[in-house]
Amino acid sequence: MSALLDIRGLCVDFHTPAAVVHAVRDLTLSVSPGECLGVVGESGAGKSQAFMAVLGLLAPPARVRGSARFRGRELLGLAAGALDQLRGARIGTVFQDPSSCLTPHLRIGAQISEVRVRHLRESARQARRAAHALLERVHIADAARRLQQYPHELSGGLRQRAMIALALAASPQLLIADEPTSSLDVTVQAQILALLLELKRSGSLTLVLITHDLGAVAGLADRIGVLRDGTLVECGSAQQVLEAARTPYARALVGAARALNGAAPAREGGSPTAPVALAAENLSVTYHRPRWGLTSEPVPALAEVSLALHAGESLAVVGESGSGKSTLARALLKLLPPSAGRILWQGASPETLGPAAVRACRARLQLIFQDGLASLDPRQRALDIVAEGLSVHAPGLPVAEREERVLRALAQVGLEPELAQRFPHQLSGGQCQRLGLARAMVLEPAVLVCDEPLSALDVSSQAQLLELLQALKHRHGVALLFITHNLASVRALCERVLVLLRGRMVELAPAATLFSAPGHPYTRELLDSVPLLDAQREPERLRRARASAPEEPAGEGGCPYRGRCGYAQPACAMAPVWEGPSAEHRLACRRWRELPPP
Amino acid sequence: MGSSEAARAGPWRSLAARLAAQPSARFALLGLGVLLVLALAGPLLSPWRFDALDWRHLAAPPGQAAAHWLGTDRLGRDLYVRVLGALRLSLLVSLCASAVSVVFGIGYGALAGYAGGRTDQLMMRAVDVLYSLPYLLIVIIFTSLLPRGSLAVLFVALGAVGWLTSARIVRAQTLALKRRPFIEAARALGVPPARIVTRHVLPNLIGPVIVYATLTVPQMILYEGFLSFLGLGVQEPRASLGNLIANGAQEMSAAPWLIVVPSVLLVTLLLCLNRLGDALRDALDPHQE
Repeated sequence: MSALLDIRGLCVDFHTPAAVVHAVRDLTLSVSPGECLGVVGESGAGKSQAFMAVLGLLAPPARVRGSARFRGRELLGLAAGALDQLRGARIGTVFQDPSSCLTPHLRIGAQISEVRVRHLRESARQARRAAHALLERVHIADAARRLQQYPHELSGGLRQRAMIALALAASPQLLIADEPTSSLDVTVQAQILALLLELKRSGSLTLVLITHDLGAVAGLADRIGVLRDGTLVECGSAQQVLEAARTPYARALVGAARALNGAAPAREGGSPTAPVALAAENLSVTYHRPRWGLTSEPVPALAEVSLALHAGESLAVVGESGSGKSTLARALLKLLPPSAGRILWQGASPETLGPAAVRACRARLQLIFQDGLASLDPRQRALDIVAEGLSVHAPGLPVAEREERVLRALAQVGLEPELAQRFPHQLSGGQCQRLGLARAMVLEPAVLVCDEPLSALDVSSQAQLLELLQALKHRHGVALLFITHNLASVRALCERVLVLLRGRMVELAPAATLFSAPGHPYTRELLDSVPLLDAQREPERLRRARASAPEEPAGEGGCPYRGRCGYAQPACAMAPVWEGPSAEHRLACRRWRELPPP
Repeated sequence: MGSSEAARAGPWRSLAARLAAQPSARFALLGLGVLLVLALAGPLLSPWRFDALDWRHLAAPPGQAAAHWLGTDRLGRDLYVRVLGALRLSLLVSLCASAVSVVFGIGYGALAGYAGGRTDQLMMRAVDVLYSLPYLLIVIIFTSLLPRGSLAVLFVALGAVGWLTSARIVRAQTLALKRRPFIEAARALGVPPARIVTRHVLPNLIGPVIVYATLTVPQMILYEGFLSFLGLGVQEPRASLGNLIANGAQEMSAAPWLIVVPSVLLVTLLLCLNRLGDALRDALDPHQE
């Protein structure tokens, strides 16, 4: 059968005043009708650029050479009008960030109907009906209401579903999905992948899935192409690439993904007898959403969370977005005022200290951010960024010694001394994250609170950063509070895991126990969301993951999971009790004794 | 550590280099330099004083009388001397007033924005109240309190108007910056608030503020012209660009050079300032490196 999309010798060069950057070099790839091609590579590998070039979406200074034929028709150099006929109608696209790809001032229904009216010349009424059907096809419940909503009213997962519906609106033959799941929670990720799998199986849809995460393509792709620095280094069947990659680079990528998703559990470390470095007692945080500028509506973000982080220990806090885990990090560090409960720093409440004393204590408690670049002052050089903590907490330090300690901190996190003079935007995502880590480590903290430090990084950078954190933990005995939405990533790092859902504690257990015998149904769902990296077993898992969106939880109070829980009973509308099989393993589920073993 | 020391001594030198790399910035700097030299030294070259009357040459066009290079006005005063004197006065008034209003506005806006909450509300409502007062009224009150025709009145009057807008711009920028993670990172590091404002907030405000400042200068020149026109600013026989243009406009058909010369000077000055503002903003952007 002839290829649907046939790319030959595609080159994309960026002509900047400084140099010519070769983003894609001599790429030859083809996609047959009905197949799913996974295109995998680290950021900067040129995987998005290649397909943007094919779609004619690149503007100067980019220069595109080569050939890309769609059903035998050359796409490169096609006039804008002819391209518009193809894009949307024959080739649909789904981008990484659905919030910036949907027009904010148009209702979802209007955006989808527009495509039908434009490409299929349907009447407004027909288009509306088709939009309704499309939303149902991507399993958006209550489609009639959703059509009337604006993008900001939808959750991230629903937005991505709407984006897929939009891409499918004109029944394209080819769907190009560029990192469709990277900005989503793991649970939602699994649902979106399941949806794509279902769409692929049900129709004549050909799929190109561009991602940095091999886990995301394992269950979907028939073939996988691996890109590195703009060059296709390996292309083969999914099974062959995952299990017996020929090139070392592809093997390393698979290895990194496996290390993140299925490493051996952490060795037990940090004894419970060690002094408590950071603790929360019945901590609650409530935000106030203003209404008409006069009154405000309380929005509970965190409810009665208690935890104790012992010196040298690492504790993971896991939950989906909106579970209050970032709020917890900020409340613990006194960057947000709690509405109830209290925090303890090394056994003492910072509330009793004056502002200057609180600032002095901050040297021992450091924070690592999700977005490394945004956490660095764009107008400071790396050297000054790392030195700032020293000039605040040790103002008397001689300049030479300060500089030496900064360079030592940079070396500690694996940054070359040459980078010290760079501005943040001149660093890669992984380097920015390391710089943030150096800024924290230069103060020799007792506690490192990491707020989703991995989620903005490539899989290979993620694996490297995890390794680095592990090394720092062992070498310096720093206690880690590791916040993440991806349960699998903490397996190798953390001794204990706390699961949060909608601001409430769901389960707290030693990592080994939690991974082998999860108690709470929500924890089980989280564990089930971890990709398997196995071309045979992964589609099976995705089928279990339900392509449909979960129900919104009904009413306030009671178990926060009961709306989605398969084991829910009327009794679950009452507040759950915090109990469990042992002193170390506690969970908030009324039915934990009756649940079948996982 | 030699290389890093060189790099650290370098921000101003590299700023100058980046400015010089932009042809339009070179042009603007050159233009401003020429105007400045003319304003300071130009009047010394002519035998006339700014208020000397030459009864033999009333309203003489340029070139008619050998000593009056740019002609004379209706009273026989030398336009070359008057226009350069006016340039000097306008530059002095507008640069001082802009500097005062921008510096005060930055301080006020950054304080209100970073403090937030009730302090912010209180400070910004005060700005709103001042905004709502007709500024002519304020100026007239000032003029009645201070000696008439003094430059101090002009500074106070122009400064009182200018800082309100810059305070609002700076506050809005500060509010946006405050939510950025790197400010939170500084707080988590234990950096005291005053240092956060000076080290992290102000440097990141510099782009919009510089552009605004270069736009204030022409605005101040225009305000000053308006006030002088009303008899509240620079008084005859002293000349400012504003009242020269205002007077020239009345005799445009009979003596066009009286409006053309000061207008050309004003337009050149404004063009150079605007170009310099844009170029400075680009040169200060770390992404340019």
